[in-house]
Amino acid sequence: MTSSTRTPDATRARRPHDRRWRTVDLITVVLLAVAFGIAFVGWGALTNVVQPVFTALPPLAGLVYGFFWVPAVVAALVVRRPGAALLAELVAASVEPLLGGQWGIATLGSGALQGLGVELGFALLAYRRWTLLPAVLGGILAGIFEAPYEWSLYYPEWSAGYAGLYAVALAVSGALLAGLLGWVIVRALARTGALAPFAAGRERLAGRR
Amino acid sequence: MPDGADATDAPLSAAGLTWQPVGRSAPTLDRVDLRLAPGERVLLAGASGSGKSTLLRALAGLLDETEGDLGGQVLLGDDDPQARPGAVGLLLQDPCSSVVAEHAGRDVAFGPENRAEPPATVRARVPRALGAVGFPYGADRPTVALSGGEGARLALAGALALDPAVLLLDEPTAMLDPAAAARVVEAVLDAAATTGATLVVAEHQLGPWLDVCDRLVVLDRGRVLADGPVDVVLREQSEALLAAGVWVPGAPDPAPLLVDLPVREPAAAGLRWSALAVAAPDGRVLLGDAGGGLATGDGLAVVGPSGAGKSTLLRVLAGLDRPVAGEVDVRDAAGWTPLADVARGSTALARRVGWAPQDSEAAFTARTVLEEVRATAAALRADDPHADDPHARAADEARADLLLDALGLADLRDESPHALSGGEQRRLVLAAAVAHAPGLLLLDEPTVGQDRQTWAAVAGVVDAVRRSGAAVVATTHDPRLAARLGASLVLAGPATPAGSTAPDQQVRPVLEPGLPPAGRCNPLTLLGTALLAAVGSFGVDTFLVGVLTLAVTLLLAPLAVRRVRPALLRLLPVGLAALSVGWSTLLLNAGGAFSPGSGAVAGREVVRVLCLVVPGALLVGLLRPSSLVDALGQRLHLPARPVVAAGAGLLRIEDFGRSWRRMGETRHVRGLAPGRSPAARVRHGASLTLGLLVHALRSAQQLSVAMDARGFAAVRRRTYALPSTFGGHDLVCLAAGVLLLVLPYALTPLLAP
Repeated sequence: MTSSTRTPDATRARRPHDRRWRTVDLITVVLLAVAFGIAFVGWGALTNVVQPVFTALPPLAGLVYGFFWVPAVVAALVVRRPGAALLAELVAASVEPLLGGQWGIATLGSGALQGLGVELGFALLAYRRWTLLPAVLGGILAGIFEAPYEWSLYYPEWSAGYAGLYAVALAVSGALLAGLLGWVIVRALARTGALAPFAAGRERLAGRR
Repeated sequence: MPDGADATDAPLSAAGLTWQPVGRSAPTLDRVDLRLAPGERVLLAGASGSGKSTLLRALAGLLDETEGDLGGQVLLGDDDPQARPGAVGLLLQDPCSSVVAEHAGRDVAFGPENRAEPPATVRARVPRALGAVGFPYGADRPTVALSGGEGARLALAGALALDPAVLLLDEPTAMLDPAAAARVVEAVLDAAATTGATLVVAEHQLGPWLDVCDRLVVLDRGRVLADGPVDVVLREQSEALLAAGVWVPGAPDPAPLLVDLPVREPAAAGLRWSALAVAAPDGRVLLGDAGGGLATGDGLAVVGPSGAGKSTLLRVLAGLDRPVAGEVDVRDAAGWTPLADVARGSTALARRVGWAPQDSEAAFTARTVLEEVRATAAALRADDPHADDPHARAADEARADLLLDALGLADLRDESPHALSGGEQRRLVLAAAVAHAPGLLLLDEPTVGQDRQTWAAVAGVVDAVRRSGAAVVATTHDPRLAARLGASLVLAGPATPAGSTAPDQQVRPVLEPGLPPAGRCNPLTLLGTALLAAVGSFGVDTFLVGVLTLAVTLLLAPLAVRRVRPALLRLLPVGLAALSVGWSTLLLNAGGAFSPGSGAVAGREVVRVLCLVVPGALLVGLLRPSSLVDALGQRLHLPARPVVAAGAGLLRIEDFGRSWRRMGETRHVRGLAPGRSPAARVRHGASLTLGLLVHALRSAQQLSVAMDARGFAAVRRRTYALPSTFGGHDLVCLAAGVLLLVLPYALTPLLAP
């Protein structure tokens, strides 16, 4: 079924450009990232609800931060190209400080690390599988990459146990709120017909769930 | 443009052109044969969904073969139409969706930059192209400030800058008022005359283009139904054209469909206002001191040119915006109530008001068309325990089915609302606003993009709503609809720009008024300065050192911010974040929670994080997409395509933010605002996020076609119209960065006991 969606044009593309980025791929990655950047602001209000828990035990806040690298997962699952996760996360991380985020340009470093983490999840499966597995894997890796960056920038005085707990929280959150949630979002987007230019949308149109 | 003359004598031809998108059972284009002689002016007509837009994309050579099966071929002379990027110019229906730069001049320069022309050549093309379309402003005009008609002319200039042999225009005047439409037609006509370009205009409304075009091609379900000289086709094929839904000039208006909506109970409905003053977004007062009202069954058309504030007035009547002065009351069975009281509660507002906004996609809330139409009625039943009985439910569902049937949406009931065409979406928004039988119906341009048949359905529903006892207010450019509504409220347009003095249309760096000194810096300087200060913050090892460094940072802040309030707004979240870091340090430090000395450590951490974040948070507010792209592309030599794409994306932050707010507003008016429960809020957030993502995907598909039509697909190496420069301001800014870098390290030994 997958092979039938590949057109002659795609198969005869020159080898180094086998995964050539079309303009629609680039722009889609960028605009999805901008949209998530806006949504983050809206979601910020939601996390206030659980704020008392974080105040009592701050490392648990890591459990909700996985949402911040969901753009990387969604972008990769939609356009299915190496580099999509990294580009999406870099753009999303630039939108946040432009809108007045709390960590200023330090989010750019977070964005790069989270994007690389998700990217690695897909790379480990040779960029051949665009399913839940690499999405969750990438989400976990992004959490693991993010933890030492935040330790050194914000929490150098935390004791090792709490720092470790924080890393675990980020990884769990990455698996669920980035990996699993990103996969769910892409399925929901496919239902709307808005993914028509992408294999992720066409597989559904062709009757494959 | 004389240097493009080489391609203008080549015919554009399509032979056996067939296109079947993946997942569709029928082709969108079915064996289309067309040959367009150089300089010919062709009007392309057909009902919604007849394949006009697809044919234009195919003629531009921009159909993507991974998205469907393409048969036959399109040739410009003997070549692929994309062999010379820009040889075939394509203008999309919504000009805002094609914008790639913050300022008009840079937007026009986009195509020539993609062709890697020398910057001086690029800059020379811009004033010529802007002049050719009669663009009334300078090259530094912000693209967000353009009206629909001005945006269309800017898009035309962007195409002309590439010396097109063919210009393809997709419904360039569909959204415009008559005066703005006339200016666009004139600009197109001028451009075609001076360049000799072949012209293809796709339109529902033939009227404005009859005198311009010499040939009429009619599409019906992907096939060419008629093709010939305009007057001959109009005379001989009139019946077939009318049957296909084409608005044939001179034909009588279609008779509104007879829709039989049950009479509303409670029947009393109405709207009244007194001493009302409403402000347009630009500050003008639209209505000063006006009084008036509507009773059961009344209709009111709000008319006037684009930008007159029609939608704004409708928002005030929907309770979304507050009037500057005066009162608005709505009436129901219990009597008159101030709108402001009603508008606070989502379900209370929905019981009285139905609102169909212009931006259809932002109005959708449900997974399927059927759920969309039933949503508000279901929410109102759930809100009122007395009303939630099987009879009420059956009546609501019957009404929803009746509306879907009347508006030609019954077969689409299980589709996602987002999967519908533009015209279908608009009808769905109408159905969703009517389905719960509100006493007052507010419609924003309900007939745009409808062909004769679907217009008759929309007009029929509006008639039925009034017969059922509700009042209707509609903004419209459509004289037929305005006539049916009876009374009209005419709003005057904004003052036309003083076009007497010739505006400066040379591309130059744009300095916004009121920028602080650092606003003149290169974006790389801003980022570098923030980075230097961030590195310096790691030298903060006592509270005192941190406080002194922070004091110097704040003393330098006037370089980066001019006004106090916005700066404080930016710093407030930073302050909260720093406090949370301090608290967590107090709690989790290696010595144990609240251990002796942990207070001092926590205090130091708070100021250290402030030293880390504050400089960047202030400087980042000065970054602008275009200059950032220039710097990343020319100074850091990053790959052009991702960098330019990212710039075009950052340009849309405001637009996306607006969409987000609009989606929340629609849910409020439709009785679907979330309650207090966290679960409802999460559902609400998820629904808004999905809506915004769909908006992003749609925008991306439009924008990428527009960019490829201007040669972006073929970019290997690219030039930039303006250099990315460094000057004295950059030195000062970097010096401040170096100061913040070394200060903590220098202070530490000085302050050591």
